[in-house]
Amino acid sequence: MKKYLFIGLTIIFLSNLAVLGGVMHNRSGEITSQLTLTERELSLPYNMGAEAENSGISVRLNWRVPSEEGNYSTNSRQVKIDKQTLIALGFNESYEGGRRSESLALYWALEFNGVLHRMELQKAARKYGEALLAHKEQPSDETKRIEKRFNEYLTKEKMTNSRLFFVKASANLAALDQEFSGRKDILIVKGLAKTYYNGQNKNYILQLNKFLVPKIMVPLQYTDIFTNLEPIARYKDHEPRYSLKVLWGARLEPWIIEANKLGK
Amino acid sequence: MNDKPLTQLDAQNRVEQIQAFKQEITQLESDEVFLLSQEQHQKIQNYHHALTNQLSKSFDIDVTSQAKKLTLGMQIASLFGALAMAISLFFLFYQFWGYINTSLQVVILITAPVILLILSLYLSQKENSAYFSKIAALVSFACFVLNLSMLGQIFNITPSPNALFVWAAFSFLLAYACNARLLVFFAIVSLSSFIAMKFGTWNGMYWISFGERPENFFLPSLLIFIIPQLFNHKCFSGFAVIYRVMAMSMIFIPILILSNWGQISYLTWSVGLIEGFYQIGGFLFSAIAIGIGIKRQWKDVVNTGNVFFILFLYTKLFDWWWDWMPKYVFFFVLGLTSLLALVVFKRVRLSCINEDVSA
Repeated sequence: MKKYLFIGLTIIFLSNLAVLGGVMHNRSGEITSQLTLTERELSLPYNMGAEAENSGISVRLNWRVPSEEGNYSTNSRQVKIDKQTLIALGFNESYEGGRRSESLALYWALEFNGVLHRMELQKAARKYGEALLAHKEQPSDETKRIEKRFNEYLTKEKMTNSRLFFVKASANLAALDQEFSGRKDILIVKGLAKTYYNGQNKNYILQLNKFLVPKIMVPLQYTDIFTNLEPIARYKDHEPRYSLKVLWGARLEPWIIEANKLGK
Repeated sequence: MNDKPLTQLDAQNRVEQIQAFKQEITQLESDEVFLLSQEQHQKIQNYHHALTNQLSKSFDIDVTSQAKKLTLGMQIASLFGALAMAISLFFLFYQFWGYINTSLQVVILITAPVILLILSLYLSQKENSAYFSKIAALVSFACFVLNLSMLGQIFNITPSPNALFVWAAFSFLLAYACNARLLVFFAIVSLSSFIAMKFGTWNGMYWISFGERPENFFLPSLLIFIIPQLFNHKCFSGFAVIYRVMAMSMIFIPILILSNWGQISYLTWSVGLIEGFYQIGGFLFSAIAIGIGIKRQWKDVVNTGNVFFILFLYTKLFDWWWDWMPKYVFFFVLGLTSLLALVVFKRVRLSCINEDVSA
């Protein structure tokens, strides 16, 4: 039995040592990104079902890809890429037969509150302007409905939607680091992506699935600001109610170092 | 008695052998084949009584058929008890961890599996009936799973397949220390998933997507099947059966999936060719399994082979005939194939009996 006890304790202690050693390495090494995000980018979880009993708080990172011209969507997770980029990312097969690729873990660069967000704001404002003009010129229920819809888009873009935009994926962290060096608004994380060939448009699509660490745990000392806060449905407009200062370390794993309440 | 150390399985087998012997003697005497004298009867009875007493003191065995039935009930109760305790522990932590600071969370997560490991090893030594040690062992395993997965959540760590390898190692250790079959099951699931993930990674996929290619399970299934052949499992009742049945399920279920959805295969052939290849493979391997099972007298292998052979046959018949045959004809044909299978099995059984008799 002593043999079993020794092996068992060794397994428990070594595995915990490896995990905690990894955490230390992440947090004591180079800080790869540092951002102060708000509820727009870090939403509260919907604790339903078995999750309702979870007393811990983890916030979910909300990110998006720039919308295409003529298609205003905040939920899209796809970007067009060429074959050369596809191969550089490590998708070494041809998928023109309609087969989807395997998922690959890639390094993603995301821009926070930068040019891409300003472009979305301008686009939403332009769309609203066009809808307003169309309604003035030809008043009808349909033009009123369109005007109202674009007004909502604009309000959301100003107040609620995430300002964290996907910029680029790469299989090489050093290259991505170098490309965006000195940019304080850039976040580099690891995420899963697939690719497939769009036979209709004859182009390759990079399907961005999720971050490898999609949620960030809020330590006990910062949970006070979440007291009495309930998650708000996405379709509702509201000012962000909190901000969290988040660091990403050497292993691109995040942790929270500051939390503040916003608004009243 | 010889000097070879007995295991619990040996002891149980010996007691069952004694019971069978008594029944057979009674039968032979009533058929007047032969008659033991009163003195011989008494001598045998005394010997068996002393032996049964000695064995039941040393091992947790069933000496009567009623005890055997009760044991089954106790096994089921301990299985559900252990699973429920493990789940309860998970929710207990979930309910309160938000009110505890990070350092204390870490301390609790590390010490819980350690304490339960010590408790399960202590109980397995001290307690005559091993049920409580098995429950403690399963809860210890659940605590260890909770330990690593919760540390991952607390520190926002990138998930890693290595956790499955460590869980498999710990589960195997507890299973062999406490003679717990359920933990062998969890250990096999963890180890097979780990190998399948690694195999998937070598073939270019991210480890979490390992289930998208059923062929990832072929290698772990072979390794799991070989384990009971490499190491003697005589002391561990039912372990070898779990290894073999799980290994066979891990090879036949992927074959069954691939024989119907060839597009998720690693093979770059046409979908029809892949499906045909796996359909033939399914029939061939299940027939081979039945053959090996009969030869080696592995009832579990024969039964698993039979189940999958029938499944392969029925899915193929469904493919061919479901759409164009009237349903009553389709089910009639299914019935006929079952009868045919019965005839074949009967002939195989008869030839086996003949071989045994002639041997």
